[in-house]
Order: sequence, then structure tokens, then C-alpha cells
Amino acid sequence: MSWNFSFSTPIHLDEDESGIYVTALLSVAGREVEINGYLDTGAAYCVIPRWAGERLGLNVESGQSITMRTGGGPMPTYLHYATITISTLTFEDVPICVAKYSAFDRCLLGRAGWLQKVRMNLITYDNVVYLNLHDQ
Amino acid sequence: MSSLNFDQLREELLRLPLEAKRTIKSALQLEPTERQKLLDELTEQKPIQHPEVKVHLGEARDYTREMKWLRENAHLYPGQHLAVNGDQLLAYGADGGKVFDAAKATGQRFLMHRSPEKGEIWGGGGWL
Repeated sequence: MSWNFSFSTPIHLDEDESGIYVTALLSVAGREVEINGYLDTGAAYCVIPRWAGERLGLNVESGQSITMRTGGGPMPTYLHYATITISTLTFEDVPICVAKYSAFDRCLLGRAGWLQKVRMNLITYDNVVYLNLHDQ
Repeated sequence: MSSLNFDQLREELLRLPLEAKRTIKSALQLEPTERQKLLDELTEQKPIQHPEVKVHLGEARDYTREMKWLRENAHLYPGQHLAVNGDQLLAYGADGGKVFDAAKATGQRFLMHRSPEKGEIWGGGGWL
């Protein structure tokens, strides 16, 4: 048995020792951060470094406190909402966790808010990920 | 009560950032009544209700040149944050915020990227 899917949005991806990354545009109330984020389907939320949250104009510690569990121990974060654009797809009101401590210095594209909205076809051999809205 | 035993708690505590360790150490040294008061105030993580995410289609920004530059050069800057516009490195350094601010001051658009440390292997993470 086989299944056929079609995808409208091809996105070039790259890879380094930290994982597979794509470019994401984060924005909050007109402030923008364009940043490479690691695809992390094991992460519950998108997580951004504190400096990025501050540059988006967020009052970081005013967000709901969420302690995430990681392989390296608990990681305190604060929950906020942002718009994330990946290629042609823009997701509004995506929950993102801003790391409390500056030692966390990378951007993770976790599941909440955007991954449930798309179908994804990841082909690392070709350095490409194809996306499509899940209901199209 | 915590579901973790002494050894598990010890292991988790030792992994915490220095600031968190200091706070916990101070809390453990409180008088028993004050310690209990603090414990009573510590609530479990609240359930999270999110607004509905809205999705729309638009024009994609083109990062082809930035990604090409990074593919060819990022490894030369291990552990650094890089701000790239086209095939030009606007700023780099260990502090992402300072790099962002320096690049912003140029008035150009730019893509932020953090280059891994040499030999760094990221284990992922971010569970609830």
C-alpha cells in the first residue's frame, strides 16, 4: 500500500552538530528577529534565547513561568506568544518559551502552535523540508 | 511530596544554574516554619490554555545568500552568534544580544545564527 501527498512549500534546510535548522522570522508587535531555528519535534514548545525575547520587546519575566524538563535537567522559561513565519506560512499567536537564563542560546522550533497546523515531509538527504497546511 | 528520591534530587539540583542553586541553598537554610510557608506557596505548574493559532500564506523572504554564506563560513566561528546580510557578516560574538544590537545599528536586515562549539553534540530537549 502507498500514500501520495502533495506539498506546496519547499524549504531549504541546513544541518550542523546541533541539528537541522531552518530560517524563522519571529515577530511581536512590529519587532522582528530573523533567526535560524532547530527543528525539534521532541520539544513541546518553541524555545528562544532570552536576548531574542528581549529584542522582540517582551517583558520576559512577566510571562507564565514554565519549567521544561530536558536531558540536561530542568530549564526555567517564561511563556509568551509571537508570530512565526517559516517560508510562506505565517502562524500567529504561537506559544513560545523564552529561556530565563542566557546560557540557553539557541532557537528551537518545537511542536506547539505551528507543527499541528502543517503536514511535513522531511528529506534530510536532499536538505529540504516540504510543508503544507494540514487541511489543504 | 516530591516523587524523586534523594539521589535523583541531588542529581537534578547539581545540574541547576548557579543562581538557582544559591536560591535553593538559601531556602533550605530557612527556619522550619518559614521553609514550610515557602513550600505552601509553591504551587504546581498551572495548566496552560493557548489561544487558537491563526495561519496565513504570504511572500517568503529569500535567505538563499545568507544560508550559502553560513554553510561555507559558520564553522570558522565556533560558539559565536553571527548576524549575516547576504554574503556579508555584519557582526559576531559570544553574546547574541550584543551581536543583534550591533547588526541592527547598521540599518540593514540580517539573519541571526549561532554556530555550534567545536565538538559540541546537542542532545535536544524541551519536554514538559
